[in-house]
Amino acid sequence: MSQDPRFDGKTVPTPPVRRRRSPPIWTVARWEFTRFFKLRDQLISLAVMLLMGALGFGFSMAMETDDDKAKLAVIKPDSVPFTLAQSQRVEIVDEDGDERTLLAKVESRDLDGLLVIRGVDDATLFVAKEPVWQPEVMAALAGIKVQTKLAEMEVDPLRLAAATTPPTVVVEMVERATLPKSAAEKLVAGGFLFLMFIAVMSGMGTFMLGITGEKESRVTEQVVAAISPQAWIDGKLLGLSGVALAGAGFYLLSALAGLGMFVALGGEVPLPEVVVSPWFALQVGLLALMGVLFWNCFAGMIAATIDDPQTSSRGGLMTIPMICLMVGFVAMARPDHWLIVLLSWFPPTAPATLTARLIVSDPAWWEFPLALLLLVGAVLLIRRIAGKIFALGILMHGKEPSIWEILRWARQA
Amino acid sequence: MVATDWICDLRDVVKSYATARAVDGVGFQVRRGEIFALLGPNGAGKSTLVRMMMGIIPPDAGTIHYRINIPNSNGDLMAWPTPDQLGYLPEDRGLYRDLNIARTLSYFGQLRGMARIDADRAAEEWLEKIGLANRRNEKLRALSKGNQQKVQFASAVLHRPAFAVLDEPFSGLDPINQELLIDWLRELRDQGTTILLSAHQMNLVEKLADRVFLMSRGREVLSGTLDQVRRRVQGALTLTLTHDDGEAIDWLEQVQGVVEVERRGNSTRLLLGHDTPLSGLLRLIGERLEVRAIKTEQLSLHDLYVQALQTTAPEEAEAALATIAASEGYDSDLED
Repeated sequence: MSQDPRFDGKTVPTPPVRRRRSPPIWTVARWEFTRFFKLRDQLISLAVMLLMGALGFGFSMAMETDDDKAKLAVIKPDSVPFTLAQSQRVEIVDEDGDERTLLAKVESRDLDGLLVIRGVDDATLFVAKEPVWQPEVMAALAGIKVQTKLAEMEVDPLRLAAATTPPTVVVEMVERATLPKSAAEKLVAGGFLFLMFIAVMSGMGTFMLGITGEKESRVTEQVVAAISPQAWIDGKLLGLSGVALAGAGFYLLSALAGLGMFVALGGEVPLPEVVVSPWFALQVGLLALMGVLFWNCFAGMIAATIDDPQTSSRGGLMTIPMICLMVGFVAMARPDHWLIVLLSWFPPTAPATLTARLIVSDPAWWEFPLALLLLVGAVLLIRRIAGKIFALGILMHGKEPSIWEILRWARQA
Repeated sequence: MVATDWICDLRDVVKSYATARAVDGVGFQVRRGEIFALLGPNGAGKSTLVRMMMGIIPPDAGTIHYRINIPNSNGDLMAWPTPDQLGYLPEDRGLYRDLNIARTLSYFGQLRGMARIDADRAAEEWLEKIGLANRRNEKLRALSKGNQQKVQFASAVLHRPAFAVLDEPFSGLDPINQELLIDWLRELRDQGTTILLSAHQMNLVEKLADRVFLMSRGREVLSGTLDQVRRRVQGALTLTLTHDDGEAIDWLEQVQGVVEVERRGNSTRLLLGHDTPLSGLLRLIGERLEVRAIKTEQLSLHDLYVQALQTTAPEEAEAALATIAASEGYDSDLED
């Protein structure tokens, strides 16, 4: 047997140079992140979103130009004062000619309409087809009739207005939670929930894809021989959660860029005060992070027990997180119902539900730390259970473990 | 080398699955710096044994100890090896088929404890060695099966482990690449890596292994160096005679030292015992037979395995040999 001269029977050769090594968790995390997160794709998607936003803005601006207003000629007695309130859709034009001449112009489409007013109760509108601006004309005619009738009854319009105006009632609520929520607040809450939904579902999807792919390509045994299954799933958890959050971050960035462009072009964005506070950003960020970690653990656990993703029925379990996230949308309508409050502390539903409540309600100060504490505990627990199930499931080929086997593995954790 | 200088020690290792006992009381020591071959047909229990050695599955009974590092002052150091000390090529293998080859190799080096820069460099060196340097940025799926197999091998040893366990490393390789692999394995051994390889291509292992451990149905059949193994089986040498078709040869079975006689047309193969006086036998044959040609050969490892199995477990021999024939046929198909 030939032998290395450095070998004295007691020592083993050392590889040439050893530099500082990353712990395996970070090696896996970096590998998984770079495997699934494609910055170029994200930037392209961001650019497309901005382009679409700009095109949309340009389109709406173009739609609002005066050139597109419908032209309406009016024939009326001098005694009837007809005017239109400032309209984006129709304008009155001065056209000489009698009714027949003007009608001919409508038929030839030189005019969009001809309104012939014979009295406050008698008018005809000639158009080529039913116009979208008809309600504005009808409202103006109705106004003329009211004014005329009031004058005939000798009723002072100002006194009538004073009598019919509803009383001013100031509503003072002792709890902020009961304040009616503005459309902007609900929109922002919906936006955050959508982002969380995207992050959780894309994270889980990537997790499933990665693990079932590794099982199918038989890469698992070589990895498990090098690092512990727990280190492997921990690394995946960090890397793929990073992918999910970065993806959601890009969506947020796209939305902010779109809003920024809108504001720069003169638009106004009424953001609720609570959304722009750093404390709120920290709270929602932590909830999103914990939600993604929690559900990614769940995905890893399920994926490790799937033998063939094409035929396994276990993918149906992925509806569980969807349902839990949907509770957040319910919370937007009834944020302080006792059941919603409880669900905002319950780890699987807390990320979405508490986020919604933070925006559209005013939870007690201790609710966020309580929910976060429970969520961190749940993540640590499910990470351990997922690690155990992953360790046993990842090396199984040819059959899927039964639900009883999975429960037995979970108990061993 | 000190006689007791082992790197891995297995004693009475047992592993059962639901329907069968895969490994049944196996024990051996792998010595530092050697190439140790675990041989047997498919289903012999080799891969199960290897998985237990890698810590992937636990044994039901028995012990597996490692002594990778220098023993401490108490003389005992049996800690489980760290990832960088072991290399493993699993039988059930695969890599990331949709990813860059060089990056994939580097990743496996890093998983085995290498710093990123070292892993990148080692990946480049191995890609040069296996002739794929110009395809370093391609995806693995673009490579032929044989080239994928070479990348897989590199991923198992690029960190230069102290102990490499290679399960069926020759599977899927054509004869030229099998010879290349033999060279790389020798090179690794000469650089100080102890190698355990599990295989069923005994003709290849014969060229390479310092010691062999033959298994069948989870149990040891024979072990030792090739010389030791030859001494342990009944026959050691074959004598092939070419003669006329009509010659009577039954009397050869009665000659002292002839263990077995096998006739095929005008050719007769004699299996001779260790102490057979060859000159006396040849004289006798010359007197009684019209011989046209004579050829002597040492028993191949395959023949030794068959002999040992027929002697120690004749009831298992037929099934084991059928499995070997089937698996060798499968590999031939792959090579084609």
